[in-house]
This record gives sequence, structure tokens and C-alpha cells, in this order.
Amino acid sequence: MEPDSVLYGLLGRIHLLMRRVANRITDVEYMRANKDYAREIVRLGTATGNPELAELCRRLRQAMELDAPEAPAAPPRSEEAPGLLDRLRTGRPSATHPTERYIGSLR
Amino acid sequence: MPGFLAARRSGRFARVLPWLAGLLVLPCAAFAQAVPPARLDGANTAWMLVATALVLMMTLPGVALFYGGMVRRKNVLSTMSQSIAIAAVVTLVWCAGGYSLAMRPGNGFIGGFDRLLLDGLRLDALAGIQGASIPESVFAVFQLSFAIITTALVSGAFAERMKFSAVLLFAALWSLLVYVPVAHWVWAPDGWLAQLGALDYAGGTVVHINAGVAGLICAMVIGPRAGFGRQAMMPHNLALTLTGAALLWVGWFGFNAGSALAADARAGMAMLVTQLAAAAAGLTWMCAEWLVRGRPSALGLVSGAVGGLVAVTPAAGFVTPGAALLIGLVAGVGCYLGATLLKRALGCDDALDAFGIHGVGGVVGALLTGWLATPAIGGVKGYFTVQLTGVAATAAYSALMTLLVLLAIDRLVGLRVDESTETDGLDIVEHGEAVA
Repeated sequence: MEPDSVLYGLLGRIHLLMRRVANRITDVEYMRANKDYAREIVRLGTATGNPELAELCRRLRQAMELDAPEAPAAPPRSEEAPGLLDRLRTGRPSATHPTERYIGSLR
Repeated sequence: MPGFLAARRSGRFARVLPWLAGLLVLPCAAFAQAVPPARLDGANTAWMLVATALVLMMTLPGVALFYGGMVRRKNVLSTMSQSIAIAAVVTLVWCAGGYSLAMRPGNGFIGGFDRLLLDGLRLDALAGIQGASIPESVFAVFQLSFAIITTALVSGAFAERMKFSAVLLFAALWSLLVYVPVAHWVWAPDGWLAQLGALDYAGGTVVHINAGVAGLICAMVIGPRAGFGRQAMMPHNLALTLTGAALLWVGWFGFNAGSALAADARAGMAMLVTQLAAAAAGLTWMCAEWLVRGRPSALGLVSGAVGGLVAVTPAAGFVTPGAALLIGLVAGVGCYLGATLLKRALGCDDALDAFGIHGVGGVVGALLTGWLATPAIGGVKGYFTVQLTGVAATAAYSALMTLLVLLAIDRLVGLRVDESTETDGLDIVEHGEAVA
């Protein structure tokens, strides 16, 4: 996935164009956090027929990997029973970025 | 013939009797003079007025901000409004009958009816608690502030999906049917847990285990938020949460030190151990998270501090500063595991970790109090088995009665908002308002 600066740049421009072209307000933060919501907005944006908006949606689809299958939530099981630290760490393997961190738990 | 009977026959007994009676009465009178009659102490009263305000501040706006910052933007006003509304509802319930049934003499399980609608609460009446030289009115409102925050804490478990009408009903029924009896068991002199010797200085059992377990039951019964476990539910503004946590921390001095019901050495020690436990627990959680995740989080730091405050609550009037540090260390780790590993193991959507922090922290604190309480501080010794009895009884009662309350509310108004309301946000649908 592209870094946040790229993603937010695309999201902000899509937000503006969706307002102007489709008279629709989008939630930029939620689009960053929720891929299902992002996919829906991309679909709506593409359906408007506006070339600039469609191009931005295409780029966002690539940047956020919206077409890639979702990674499984549960980590693969190992043969040995994992220790406490391992269980804490693998419970949410990439849970350091806010968009991954707040899935299933706040803390 | 014994001399006494001989004297009686001769009539000399009748002449001696008044002198004998006087000899018996004189020590009693002298003893009565040695115990001064209870009277109002201005310094204690002033401190208790301040302590009450501090504890109320923990809810308004402490819990409101703490919880409000952790939910998604579309539910901020709803979450904060729930804390404020709960404060109002519980106040009325306390006046109607809560205070009487919780704090007045009755039997081992419930108090009396002599203060319904606060009738009989005179201007010049004292609290009626041994050693408490404060007005009963101050005592009543101080205890009210505990009832308020306990009920407000439960709302963290069902955040972002419970109907506002259901929250109001829950506040009324839960505070009366769950909080009041447990408060009587532990804090009233004739309460059965108090008689057993269970130690709970400021509410580890009455407030935190009670609220935590109730929160867990609420989360189980109401069900998870839509998208839980699949979607990231980002906190709207953790700066609000940090501010709320800071208000909780400072307000906790009223919570624990105020439970001395006096401005004295015990209150001072309670304040000191409260601070120590909070600091130790906050840093412990922070270190644990640093180890596991590679960096410390602001939310983790304040969550740890709150966990330490919870754990030291039952122990505040009974333990040394060193013991408070230990309580903080254990609570920091315990609450971290409670809000992460245990939460995942339980698999239910306790949205803001009411059980993970308050339930787990309360259990940790209550049990450690049994081990660490020292007569040198609180004048009593703790017993682990007695503490375990208190924990188990409170948890069982809270779980069962909370379930019944929820089932009743579901019959009356329904518990949960519909799917579209949950998607659009409770702020705009339930209240017609939104944060910009």
C-alpha cells in the first residue's frame, strides 16, 4: 500500500470532485480506514463518467489495493503452543498503524 | 446467714442501697463523659464537600470525555450525553430511595426505608456513621457521586449501539436494583459483607467489579457493533480521552481520600497511595505495550493509569505506599492483558473495555487488599478468602441482575438501535446533532 501522504492526497481530491460532480459528501478518514467504504465510493465515482474522477478512483484503487483479497484476520497456527508474548504480538500482526490497530479492540 | 441477707432483713440494706446504686452509676457517667457526643466538624465537612465535587467531576466531565474521545465521530455526542443523562437519572433515583436502601440501617442485604425521598434528612443531622462528624446531607451527596460514576462506567461497554431511551431506563433500574444492594452489603455497618470483614475502602467491589461485570453482560446481551472485528473503529479524538483521564486521575483523590470521611491522616495516606498506584500502573502498561508493539501509545498510558487507580481503590485506606506500588505494577499488567488478550478470548464487543479495565482492575485490587492490608494503616487485617467471597458474590449478583434488567428493558423499549441508525451514527439520529 502507498504511504499515507499519497493516499490522503488522492482521497482529498476525490472528496472534492465527488462533491462537485456527484453532489455527494464523503468521509475521507473513513475511506482510509474502511476498504469496503472506499470501494463503494470508487464505484460511485467511476460511475459518474467524469474522466478526472475516474482516473483518481483508478489510482486510489491501486494505491489502497482495493482489488487485492483481504488478509485473513487470524494468524496461521503453529505446531507449538505460543507463549504469552507471541500471542500478544501475533493477535494483530500489523496492528501499529491506526487503520489496522483499531480492529476488534481499542487497546 | 450471709452478711448481705442479714443486712437486708435488718433494713440496713434499704439505707445502703442508694449509695450502692450511686457507686454503680458513677463509673458509667464518667465513661459517658469520656466519649464526647458526635458533633459537626467544619474541617471535615469542608473536605468532604470538596471530595464530593471531585468525584462528581470524575463523571462530569471526566468519564464523558474519556469515553467520548474513544468512540467514532458519529457517536461522540451520544456517548457524552449518556454520561450526563445517567448522572441526572441516578440523582433522582438516589433521592427517591437509593440512599435509604443503600446506606440506612436495615438488614444484611438491604437498607431501611426511613429516608425515602430523603424524608427525615434534617439540616443539622450528622451522617450517623461512627467517626464521621459531617452532616448527613454531605454524606448522602458524597455517596450519590459514587452511584453516578458506577452507572456511567457501564455505558462504556455498550457504546455506539444502545438506544438513548434504553440507557435512561438502564440507569434507573441498574442503579436501584444492582448498585444499591451491593453498596449496602459492603459499606453499611449491617451489610453482610461488611459483617464478614470484606475490605473495600472506596469501591473496588461496589463500583468497579460491579460496573465491569455489568458491562460485560451488556456487551454479550446487546451484541457487537456492526463491523466489529472486521472494520477499524478509530477513536474520534484521543485528546479528549487524555483530558478525561486526567480529570479522572485528579478526581480520584476525592474518591479515595474522601472515603476517609474526614480530613485526617488516613485521607492523606489514601491520597498518597492513590497517586503511587496510578503512576506505577500507567508506566507498567506503557512498558508492556512498548515491548509488545514496539512503541508506547497515549491511550495505553492513560488506560494503565486508570487501571492502577481502579486497583488501589479498595486498598487505599489499608495499605502502605510500598504496597500501593506493587498494586500498581500488578494492575498495569493485569489490565493490559484484560483489555487485549482476555478481550480477544472472550470475543465480545466491550467497546471501551469496561470489563477489561474496571472489572479486571477491581478484582486485582480486591484480592491484593486481602494480602496487603495492614493494621498499621487501616486498623484491620485483610483475609484473601473473605475478599474472594466479596468478589464472587458481587460478580454473581451483578451478572444475574444486570441480565434481568436488560431483558426487562428489551421488553419495554428495545435495547439496540436499528442497523441504519448504527450506520448513520447515534448523534444525528438519536439527538439530531453532529460534531462538525
